[in-house]
Amino acid sequence: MYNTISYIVKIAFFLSLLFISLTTYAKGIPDKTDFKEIERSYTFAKANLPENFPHEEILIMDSWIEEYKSQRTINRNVILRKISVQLSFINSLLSEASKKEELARLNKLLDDIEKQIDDLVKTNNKVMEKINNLENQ
Amino acid sequence: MSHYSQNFLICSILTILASCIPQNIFYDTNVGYDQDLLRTYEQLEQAKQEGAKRYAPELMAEAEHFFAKSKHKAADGKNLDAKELYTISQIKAKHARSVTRIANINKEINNQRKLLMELNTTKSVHESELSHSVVRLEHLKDKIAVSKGILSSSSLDNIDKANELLDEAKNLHADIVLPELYRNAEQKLREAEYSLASEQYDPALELSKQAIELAAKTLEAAKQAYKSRAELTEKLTPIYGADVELTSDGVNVVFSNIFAPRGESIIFEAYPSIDALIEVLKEHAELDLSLYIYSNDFATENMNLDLTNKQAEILKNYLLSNGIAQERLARAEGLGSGVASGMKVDSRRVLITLNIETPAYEELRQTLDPPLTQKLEY
Repeated sequence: MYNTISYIVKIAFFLSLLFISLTTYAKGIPDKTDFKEIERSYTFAKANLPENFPHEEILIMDSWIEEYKSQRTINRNVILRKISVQLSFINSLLSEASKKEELARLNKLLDDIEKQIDDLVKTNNKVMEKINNLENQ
Repeated sequence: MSHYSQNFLICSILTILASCIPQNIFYDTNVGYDQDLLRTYEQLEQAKQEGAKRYAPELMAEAEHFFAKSKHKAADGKNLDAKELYTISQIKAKHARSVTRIANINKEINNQRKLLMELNTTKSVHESELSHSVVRLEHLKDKIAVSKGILSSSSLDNIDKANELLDEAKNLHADIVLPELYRNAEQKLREAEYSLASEQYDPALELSKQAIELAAKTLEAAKQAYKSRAELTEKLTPIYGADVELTSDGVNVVFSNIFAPRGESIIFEAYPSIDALIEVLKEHAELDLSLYIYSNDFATENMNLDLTNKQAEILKNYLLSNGIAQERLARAEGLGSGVASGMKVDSRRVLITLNIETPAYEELRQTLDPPLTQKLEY
């Protein structure tokens, strides 16, 4: 009877200890949903990269994603945090590229308008010259 | 304590100790931490210099926070944790720099937009100016077209008028009695027509006015010349045996039967005609005259010349003896059959040229512009 109770207590104790350990490790296991969401966003961003985008950042991101997928437990939360931060950075770079494009477009528009104004001035001068010539006649 | 209790206690302690072991000790390695830390620091410094604290304060605060934590972890010897933290710090710093650049680009975009608005305004102003200028030009072109029409019409009227005057002058034999004047008026008229055809409206108008003026003066002179000649012709034509023709200098009277063939005296039947001529000459004391006697080619030219000179002398003496002043008789000579003068006539004839001075013509010569006067001086 004593032995039976002792075994039961021992097993219960081991199980509780095992539970505590597992939950301790499990703190490092990230939520799979977060990663999928991040991966989806990243895939979308990657599909729309501009030509002059710094590809080293993509290589870093790809390596971390691979690392995340290959790791099972302990480091995943840390990697996911890096991936999340890197994704924000990549999105910022995309936004920057988009702004640069807009600026380039504006600059081109300004150049076009300046050229149009030059043409207008030249044409007006020619017309005025013609008017003066005709008036002199 | 029983054997089982001892085992249980040992196992529990070992389990608890195992759970307390850091997760990273199994794969922690020294990864050149100092260099990476320096790189992170440089990133942060660059971000600060670029003004990231102003434009991305939260990101910068996070980056600095992770950097500080990284240093603490490193100080505790937890290099792997430290590495993860400075990596995140680096990304945050780069992110902050990117945000700063975006803010700067946004500023520039705003400036460019303002400039774009200003340029659009300027463009509108220039477009408006051009539009006004074009309208003004079109208006001016219309006015010029009207002016050209008026000038062209006036020039045409003047040319028509000058043509009419010249036609009238020609009817009065101006082309014969006043050839230089007539030619100059005609030339001026052609110049006016050419200018008009070349669409040189101002010169055309001026030339056409000059053409009218010249044509009018030519007509006036022609009228006077014609009046003198007509009067003279009217008196000379009825004279028996006299052929009368107009010349630029006046009137020519030709007689065929004043002298007999090879004769050196005036035939009897010719006296009435010569007397009638003398009467006309007396009535027109202003007329100068010249006598030219021709013979037919009956002998050598010297003999012809001798004969005609004698006949000229006889006729001259007759005229002088009948009251014609010596000074009016410019010339009286025999020309033989005309071979010596280069114009063989080969017929007996007496040519009397009567010169008429046309006052209007002389007056006109004085009033003409120098170049035209020079042309008339040939």
